Amino acid sequence: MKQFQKWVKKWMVNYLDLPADVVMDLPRITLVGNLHIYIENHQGVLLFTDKELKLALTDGELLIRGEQFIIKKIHAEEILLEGKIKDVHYLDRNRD
Amino acid sequence: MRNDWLKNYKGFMKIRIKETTPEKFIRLSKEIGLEIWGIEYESEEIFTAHVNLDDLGAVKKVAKLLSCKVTFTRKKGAPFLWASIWNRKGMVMGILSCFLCIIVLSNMVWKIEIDGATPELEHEVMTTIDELGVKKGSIALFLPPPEQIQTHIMNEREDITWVGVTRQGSSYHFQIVEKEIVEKTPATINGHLVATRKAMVHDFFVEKGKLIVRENELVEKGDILVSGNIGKEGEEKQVSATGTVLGEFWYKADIEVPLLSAVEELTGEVQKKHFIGNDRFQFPIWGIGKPDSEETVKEIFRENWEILGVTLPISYGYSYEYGIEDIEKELLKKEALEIAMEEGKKSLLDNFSNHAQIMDEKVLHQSIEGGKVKVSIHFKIIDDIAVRQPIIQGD
Repeated sequence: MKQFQKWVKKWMVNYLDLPADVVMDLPRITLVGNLHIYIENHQGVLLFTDKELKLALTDGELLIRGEQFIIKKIHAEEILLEGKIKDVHYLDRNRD
Repeated sequence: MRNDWLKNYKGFMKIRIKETTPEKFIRLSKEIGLEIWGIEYESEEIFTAHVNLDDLGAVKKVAKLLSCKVTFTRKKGAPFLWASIWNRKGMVMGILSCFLCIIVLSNMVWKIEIDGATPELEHEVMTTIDELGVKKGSIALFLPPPEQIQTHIMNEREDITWVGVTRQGSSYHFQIVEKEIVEKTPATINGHLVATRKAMVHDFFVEKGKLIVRENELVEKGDILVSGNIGKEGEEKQVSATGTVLGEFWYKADIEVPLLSAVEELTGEVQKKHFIGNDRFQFPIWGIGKPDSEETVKEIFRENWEILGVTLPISYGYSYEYGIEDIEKELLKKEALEIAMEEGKKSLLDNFSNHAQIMDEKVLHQSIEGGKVKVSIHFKIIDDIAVRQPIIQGD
């Protein structure tokens, strides 16, 4: 059943031209150079230090590394991070 | 960023949290509905964040649930700003009242100048504008504009040709041009010029008429000086004789001047002293010494100090001590004589026309009686002695 739902959503994205982040509940990540990163649709903060931010996603985790991190804003499903962003890592739960 | 002004308005605080991780704190505040932002990592289990002043209760709740330590490091926004202003309310009030004073005082009318009017008219114009509210101490903001004042004065007063009203800062300036009232010259009546008094003709100037007297001729009162009948004998024409005839005559004036009873004079030496005390006893504060003169006279000025309506028996005051010296009686007499001369001349000239001249003066007699100096003075005067006398028809 879940597989079928996934298939339907994928089909809607492909053939009805609906945005993937809305339909498939995926995170939308906006990067402004290496100064800001804006993540919508996250599922909570797993880890936060001045060099690392780990966010929970619907299926998987997002790891951001850099320096001098400050969480400028945090709401239920969005987060704005400021600092020197060095890399953004996507960890897929299914594969790991 | 778009909510910054709202945050400033409501007030927010920076908090420092110890003994918990930011993840836990974020998760719990999300559940409770506590809004946090600006999270900064300091070291393990120490971080800082910002919260709204309204959410103070929620912060305490989270702190209790996580059993972490929360300290407030910075307070920002309108409520805190108000509190700090309220703490300095004296200074703020002072600044505000200073500005208010400047505004009020600079809008006050300080000076009213009226130019080009006689004193009587000036006074009348003053009362006219007073009715409008233009007077010293009134607020210029509430007064009508200068043009309106101008038309008001023009309407009120008929003896003014034009008035210019200008306002320069805190002073009003009125430039008045008076209406010239043309004096009606009396209708000319045919007549002679006759002498008003016994005199010797000194000089003459005849505009119209036939001169009868000669220079240095003695005339009696009523003598015709310039005749109004001109032309050949038998074909005489009557005109109004005009001109001036200056006559020289003596005038005796008796003048009484009271002799100055005070025979003391201030030498000009003054010593000012400040004291505390009353009229009987004075405790000196400042000023020592005495005038060099043998005799002195003292003047005391004292303030009244009152507490709750009761006048204190002692107060601050100051005194002037003047040196005085006697004046010789002879000197006084001389002075009185001088005064008599002056007064005599003054009262004399009042009796004659504006052109009257005193050529000579002679003291006939002087005496001191009952504290008064009596002087008889003879003045030699040159004045116009001609006056018009109508020719009586059929005479």
